[in-house]
This record gives sequence, C-alpha cells and structure tokens, in this order.
Amino acid sequence: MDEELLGEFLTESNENLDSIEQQLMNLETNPDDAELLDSIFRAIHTVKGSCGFLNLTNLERVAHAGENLLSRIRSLKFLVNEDIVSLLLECADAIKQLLEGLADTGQEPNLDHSDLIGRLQVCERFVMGEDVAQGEAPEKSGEAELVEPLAWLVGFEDAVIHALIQAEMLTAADIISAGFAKLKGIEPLTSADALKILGVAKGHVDKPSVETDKTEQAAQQGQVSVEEEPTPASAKADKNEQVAEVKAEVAKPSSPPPAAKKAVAGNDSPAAQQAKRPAASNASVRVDVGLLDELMNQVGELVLTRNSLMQMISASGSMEFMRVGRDVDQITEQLQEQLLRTRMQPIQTIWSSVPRIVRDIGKQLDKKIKVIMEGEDTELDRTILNALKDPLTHIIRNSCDHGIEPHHIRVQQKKPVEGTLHLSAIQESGFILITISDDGGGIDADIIKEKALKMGSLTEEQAAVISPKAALQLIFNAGLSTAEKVTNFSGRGVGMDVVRTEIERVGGSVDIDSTLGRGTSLKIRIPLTLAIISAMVVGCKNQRFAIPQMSVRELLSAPDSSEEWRLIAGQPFYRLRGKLLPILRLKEALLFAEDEKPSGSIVVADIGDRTFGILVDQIFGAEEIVVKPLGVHFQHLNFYGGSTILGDGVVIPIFDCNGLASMVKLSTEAEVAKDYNQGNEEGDLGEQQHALIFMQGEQRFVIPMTLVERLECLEATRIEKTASGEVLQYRGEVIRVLRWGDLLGIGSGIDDPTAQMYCLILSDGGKRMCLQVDQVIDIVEVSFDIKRPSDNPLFLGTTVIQDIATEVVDVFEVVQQADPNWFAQPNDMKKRKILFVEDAQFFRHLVIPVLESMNFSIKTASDGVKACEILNSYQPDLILTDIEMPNMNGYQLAQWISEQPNLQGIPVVALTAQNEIDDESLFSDVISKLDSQELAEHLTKILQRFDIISEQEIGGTNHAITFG
Amino acid sequence: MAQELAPIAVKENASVELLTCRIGDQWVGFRVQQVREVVNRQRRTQMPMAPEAVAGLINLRGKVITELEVRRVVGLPDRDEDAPFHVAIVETLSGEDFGLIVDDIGEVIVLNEDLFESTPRSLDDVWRQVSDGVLKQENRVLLLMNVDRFIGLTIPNAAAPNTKEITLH
Repeated sequence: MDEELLGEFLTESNENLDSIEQQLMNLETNPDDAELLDSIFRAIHTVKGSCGFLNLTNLERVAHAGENLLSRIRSLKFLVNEDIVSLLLECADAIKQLLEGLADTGQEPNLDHSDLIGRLQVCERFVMGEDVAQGEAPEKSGEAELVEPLAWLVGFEDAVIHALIQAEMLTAADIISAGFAKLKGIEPLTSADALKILGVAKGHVDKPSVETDKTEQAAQQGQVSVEEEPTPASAKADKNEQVAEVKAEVAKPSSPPPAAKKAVAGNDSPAAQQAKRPAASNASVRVDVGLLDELMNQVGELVLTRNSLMQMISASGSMEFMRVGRDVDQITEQLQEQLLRTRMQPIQTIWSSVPRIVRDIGKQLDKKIKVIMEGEDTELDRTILNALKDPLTHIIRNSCDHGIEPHHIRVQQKKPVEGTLHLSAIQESGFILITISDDGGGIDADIIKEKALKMGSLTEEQAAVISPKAALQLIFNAGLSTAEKVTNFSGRGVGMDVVRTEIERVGGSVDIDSTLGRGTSLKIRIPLTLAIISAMVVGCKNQRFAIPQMSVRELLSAPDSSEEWRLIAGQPFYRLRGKLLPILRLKEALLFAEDEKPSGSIVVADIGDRTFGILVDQIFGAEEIVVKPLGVHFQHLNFYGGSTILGDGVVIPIFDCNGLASMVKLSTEAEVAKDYNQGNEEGDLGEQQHALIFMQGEQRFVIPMTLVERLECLEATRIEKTASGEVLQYRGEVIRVLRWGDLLGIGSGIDDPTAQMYCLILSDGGKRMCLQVDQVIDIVEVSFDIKRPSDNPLFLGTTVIQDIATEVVDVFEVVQQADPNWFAQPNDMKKRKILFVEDAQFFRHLVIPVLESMNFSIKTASDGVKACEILNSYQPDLILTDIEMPNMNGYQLAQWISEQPNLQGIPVVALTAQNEIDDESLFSDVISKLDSQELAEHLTKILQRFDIISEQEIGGTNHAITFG
Repeated sequence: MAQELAPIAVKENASVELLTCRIGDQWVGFRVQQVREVVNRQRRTQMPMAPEAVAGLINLRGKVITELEVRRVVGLPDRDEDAPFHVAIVETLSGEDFGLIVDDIGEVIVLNEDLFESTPRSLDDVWRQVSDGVLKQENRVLLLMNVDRFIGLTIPNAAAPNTKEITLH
C-alpha cells in the first residue's frame, strides 16, 4: 500500500473524526439540527469513500453501515434518540480503532465488527420502519437509495447482502455490470439468488433514472445531498472506470467530469487532491514533529548564542555593532516565539473527549452531568498536552464517579438534578491555569486525615494541627490514594498520586480544594512550554542558580536586621503577613556554609500544597532560559531540575522546587506555621508536655523540652577539647559539651569529623550546656506516662510514644551529673499558675514549652471570651495574653479583668508581635513575641517584680502568689 | 581550543586506534571512536552535593557536559590549582557525553588488538575494574580503558533504579 497515501488518509480521517463525538452528542440534544447531521454524515462518508480507494474492506464495511444509518436518519428527518447516538458513537469508535491499528501496523487490523454492523443495519430498518409506521412519504426512500442501494434488495438473507457488500457491489449498477457469472461466483449466493438479484437490480436501475432528474433539479438549486456524492464515486473509479461512469450517470449527474475522475484513479495527482479536499487546507503543510523538535533545539542554541553575542557587542561599545545586534536580537526573539507557536495546540485537542467520557460515565451511573468548558482555545505545547491527557481523564472520571452525587441525594440536598463539571483554562504570565471543578459532594478532609493517620503518612501531632486544605492535599500521597476505602467514603482516590507525578513530570503543580457538600476543585498550573522557561536567577556564595518562575510567588528582601526573622529550634522562619514562612537557607542546604545569621533575599516558592522561602544572597533577575537535562550523575539529586547556559556562557543549575522543599528541616514545625491561624484548642494541658525524640544508635529516647533551648546541627569539628573536657563556642560563650553516647557508655558514634552532629542546647537560669545526640527524630506533645521506672538515674523510666517504647531522659539528673552546681541557685518559681490566652496555635506551641520550662501550671484559652469563662472559676498567678484575638481581644480582656473584684492584682501581661500597642496602661507589662529566651527572661523579671509588690501591698491576703 | 585528532589511514583487521592519556603515572588508551575531541580548561560550574567524581559542568558549544575527575576516581590526590590538564570528551553507550579530566594527552596509536594481555592482578583495584587489557611497552604499561565501565563507577547508587526521569528537555 502506498505509505504516503495511507498517511494522508489517516491524518485526514482522524481530523474528520476528531469532532464527530462532540457533534454526535450535540445531535443528541438537538436531534433536529439538519446541518449538524449533514456534517456528521460527511465525516463518516469521507472515510468510507477513501476506504474503497485504499482497499480497506473492514473499515469500509463499518463506515458504510454507519453511513447508511445516518443517511436514512437524514433523509427521513428521523429524530435520533440516546440509543441511536450510542450506536453511532460505537461506530465512530470502531472506525477509530481500525484507523489506529492501521496507523500502528500499516495493515488493516483484523477485527470483527459484524455484530456492530448488524446492529447498525437493524437500527437502520428500525428507523425506516418507524418512518413507515408514522406514514411518512415513502417515495422519499428513493432518495436514500442513492446512498444505500442494497436496501432495495428485500427478501434476501443478511448473509447475501453481506456477501454483496464484501464483493463491492453496492449499487444496482455494480450488480448489473458484474453480470450473472460473477454474481453466481459469490459465496453463498446460489444461481437462483443471483438471477433474482440481477432481476431486481435491473428493475431498480430504471427507477433512479427518474430520481436522477429530481436530483439534478435539486442540484441546480444548490442542494446538499449531491455534495456528498463525489467521493465514493471517484473512489470507486479506480476499481472500474466503466462502473464509475455508469454510476455517474445513475447516481450523480453533477459529479466531476470524467477527466477529474481519471486523475483520482491515477492516484495522488494535484487534481485529485483538489477534488478531495476543501481549498482551505491547502494553506497548511504537515510537518513531522521530530523535525519541529529539532528546530526547537536549534533555536534554543541560537538564543544562547545571541545572548553571548549581545554581551560581546555591548562590551565593544561600537554603535554599528549595536544596531546590527539589535536586529539579530529581535529576529531571534520573533523566530523563537513563532517556532514555539508551531508546537502549540489548543487545549481543545484533549478536552474534546471530555463530554464523551462524562456522557458515558453518566449513562452508566445514571447521573445527569453537564460539562461547561471555558478557554478551550488556550494553547499549550504539545508535549505538555500529551502528558496532561491521562491525568485529566482521571480527574474527570473521579469527578463524575465520586464527586457528583447520585440523583436522589442531589434532590435531597436541593441541588439541581443535573450535576455540573466545569473546565477552564486561562493563561497567566507564562503559565496555564487549568481548573476542573464539580458541584458534587466534596471531600471530607477528616476522613482523609484519619486514613493518612492509619497509613502512617501523618503523625498524631501533625494531624492535630493540619488545616483541612493541607489535609486534602494528602490525597496525592501514594499509599493513601490507592486505598479503596477513601474512594468509597470521600470520593477521589485511586491513582491521584499518579496524577500528581504526571503533572510534576512536565513541570506543573496540582492543588485540590473542596467544600463538603458543595464540590471539589482541582487547579493545575503548568508551564506553556518546556524547552524555554522563565526563571529567576539568584546568587549564593559566588554561584548562580535558576529557580523556575513557575514556582516563584514573590521576592523579599530580608537583611539580618529584619524584625521578621524567627528562629524556632534552630530553624529559621520569616514572618510574612502574619504567617511564618519556613526558610531554606540555600547556603546551608548545599553545604556551602554552616549556621549563620539568616540574611539576604528570600524567594518565596509555592509548590501547590506548600509555601516556603529560599534564602539566597542575591537576586539577579528573571531570564528566559533554555532547559538542558542534567547527566546521569545528578539523577539522585531531586532538587536539580536541569541546567542552562547563561548569556556569558556559564552553565548554571536549575532547581526543582519540589525537591528543595523536601530539604526544609523540621517540616512538622512548618506545618504548624502553615496552620498558624487554624485549629484552635483550649483547656487544661494537664500532663501533656513538649518533648524531643532522638536516637542514639538503635535506641530511642525522649527528653522533655523543658530545658532544651535550641536544636543545633553542627559540624563535629566545632567541638573543641580542653583540659576540663569538651566545649563548644556558642553565642559568644564557651559551653560544656556532653555526649549522650558517652553518658550511656556506648560511645559517640561519630567518626567523620566533617559529619553533622545534632546538639541540644540546654539552658536554665542563664546557664547553657550542650548535649550531643546521634539523631533527632521529632518534637511531639506527649504525656509522660511512665510505664516502667528505671534503675538508671539518667532515666525517669520507659514510656510509650507513637507505639514505640522510649526511654525518658531525666534531664535534671543529666545536667546535675555534669554540673552539680547547675541548680544551686534557689528556684522559687515552682507550681505557679498561669493563664495563657492566645488564638494562634502556632504561638501556643511556641510559648508553652517556655512556660513549662519555668515550671508553671498552665491553662490556655484561645480568645478573651474563653479566658473569661476560665477565670470565673480559676485564679491564676499571672495572665499572659495576646492582643489580637477573635471574639474578645487583649484590651477588652484586660479591661474585663480590671473590673472583676476577685481578679484584682493579678498581673496581666501582654504578649504581642506588634511593636507598639494602643493602650499600655491596661497591662502590667508588654512582652514582644520574639524568641523564647527573651520571653523567659521577661517573665522572670515580671514575676520577681510582682512578687515584691504583692507582698508589700497586700501582704498576701488578696491574691496570694503561692510558692511551691 | 579543540585539538583535532589526525585521522589515521591504517585500517587493519582487529586493529585498534587508541588515544593515549596520562593520569598520574598511569598511561591509558581510549578507543578513538569513543573520543569526540580533546579540549583544554573550560569554564566550569561546580555542582553542590554532586558525587565526588564530578568536577562540574562545562559548556561545550552549547552542550552541557559533566566533567569527571579521573584522579579522584582512582584515588589520586587532586592536582595543583594551576596545574595544566586536558579534557577528553568521550561518548558512552547511553548516548551521554562526558568530559574526562586527564593530566596529559599523548599520541594516537594503532595497534593490533591481539597484543593486549589480560589485566594483571597486581594492578590497582580501580584500574583493574575499568581495564579491558594491558599492553606492555618499553617503558610503560598502557591500559586499555573501558569508558562505559569507568563512568559506571562514578555514578552513585548505580545499583539503585533511576527514580527520577529526566523531565525537562
């Protein structure tokens, strides 16, 4: 078979069929749209016509059966129902399937569609029968016979009809010209059959001659039915010119002159092309995608060369060069832009299948779902489009299947019975934002959370603080989404991890949001193209790096003097609009340097479910870069996304922000920060305490945070040996180093002097000590429920944390062993009661350990109103309150307290992040929410002050501060 | 800067053309078909957290190539900052090109493959792993280098499956 011709045929047929599904579905809603029906008919008809030409018999039969049915529907103005549309869709599918097979192997696949053909024929008769029953003009059938001639062969078995079709005898003329001998030779026709058929055929041919006149008249009036005819006729032409001519006489008075037909028969001559295809398509040329890709690479190189050329030119200072340079610059830019456009395809190309998917699922599940699409003409690089296809289908299936509720539930919930699936695509500065939303039942974040907990992908601690939105993102976790239960309960599930992986593979990100009972929406952000991306070039320690603009949300300048810096357990955070942003210190992360005061610029990166800051030294600006893949040596480093060459010829790495995000330490804290304003809890903390879990060798220990001031990750060389033991220079002090391994007598386990070491900085009463441990696991909130007391004085006993038996370190004993004088100074702050009023859970988590370390008995309240309730039955020694709070703020609370007779004299201390507060007189003191050290010092001072005042003033009658 | 390799006319059966290079005291031969070119010092970008053998990335006429420090792979100390070196750009079966940093470049020689003997046990372990045989010459032992095996040695977790695909083009 002529390869080129076949290629042409496949492309053209696919183009024709592309729209057919959509059209069929439109027909379902508007069955009386004649124009639409014509268009569908033409598509199938063209395929059928070309088949004969290429000798594709299977395909021809399927297409032919479909065409016949359509022709019947058209001529009888029959109003199609759902079932007929389904059948026609099936027919279109079969054609596509055959075409695909043909494209893959170059051979027509051997598929049996006789069942489908049979049903199409039955349906055709049904349409006719219906028509006759309705008493519609029977003479119209004559017109239809032009297309489906064998229909007049009544009284013969299907097998006979099939055999005739197989033998390409499709019209009475075919049969007559074939003659008796040939007819008789066709299995399973008997001589009698052949004679009968021939007779009927001859009788039939006479009739159409009358019809012909009619058609001719119609043609002169510019009627449509003629238009479809040329192709099958000309297609047949190559088989038997004589036949073609007969046919031309019989069926098609207005067909092209014989000369043109000959041209068709003589294969691929320009005339044939012209006859076959509408003029418009002559304006475009089909180009191999591989060639375009190659061109794209070359232009990528050109862009880079242009960049270096421009630098050289501007260095030369010659006006002449500059003028030429500018031209080169502009031309390159246009070339790049236009070439990019050649690779672009409208998103419609993958969306067009959506209505069909939705319809099928809807029918299957008996749901009515309408699809609304917006921005179908938004264009994307074809590579990306291809990659998006599967995830998109998956999401849509999920939406229809699990998202949109069944009929009765929708009725119950007073929602419109018809569910809506909304697809939109918009372009947003170099990116495409695709939103897929439904108005279904939504997803219950709590169920996801529960599941994640069970799966172990979420700890209790995290679950307590995670926001519903963040919990929803867990659906993209591998373990979670494959779990069937999630699917049953909440909808979405199976394979969502694959969806995310696929999208991330082309540099995109995906984000889910859902309101229970209202619906779910997925947002996919994707770059326009992969080859050239916009990136932020940043500097860190004399080196430049590129961060894809895709992930960059904003840039901040953050000198070390900035008041927004926070250090929490050694991990830097930056306060941005009231939220704490976890910061990745690029310098530290990439082993350039160790712990320094954070300073520089922050690139705020958003990777869908998480936002974090990348601290760099310098930001050079945005640049269009050509992405080049990194070699095999970097495949394990997931924070690299590729490399590029800058204008000066230097190679720089491109980061992958998803990979960078995984380098942010203590993500538990980061989660807390994210949920800064969410998830309030109040009440007595009871025995719950913050504690740090660490490992020494294989053993697991937990240490109360009471004395732990900071968590440091230091190089082993930082610890120096002196005559009196090991020491560490820390914040201008020389502090004692204890190695936990030595205390246990199992050794420190550190051989490599360059290795990083975890050090817990213990602090109390202005003294510090460093406790070096093997590995820090997590910070948790636990109640120290000692299951088994210990003989070893270093331990309080064994407790169970996260289902693992863990030794509880007696930190006081540890410190005392190292420095017997540590606790020598009188500690008279024991067992005093404090009420801590704070709405932000994050700060509660931050401050409570500090208060615990001061040995307060703590009650917490999440706002002023709750505080008042607690104060009605509880007399603390000190009230520590935030100012900005919902329901009742700090000022109102202080005012209220001052009006309560039983609360007179209790110091009310404001703890605020604001630099200035409006009415300081309401408070005994104001402490800024800075670091824990300052907080502890301030509180100590305040307590001392108030202790004195209270003794002097009232002599302990009114509000006795009890000393424990 | 490219030092073009003179084409060699002699083409015998079972003959190999080798480009000889020196690393420390060891002379090795690369099959000429695998060597694209030899370049001098290029501007190099160091890659943080890269495997030890990786010296950095270089830009070779618009192509980004990973430079590997052969000395580090065979356990030799780094050369002095300003000591001269050459970079042999080699191509591997996987299709990726690498720059191998060597101390010196010798001549291109044509040899009969039969002359090579199997690698002696006395040879250093790393050298033995990457050697396809040795040729004892008057004053030196020339080692026939298997480039693919050499590259394999420098890849971290070579046994571990590639978890991440190259996604950007």
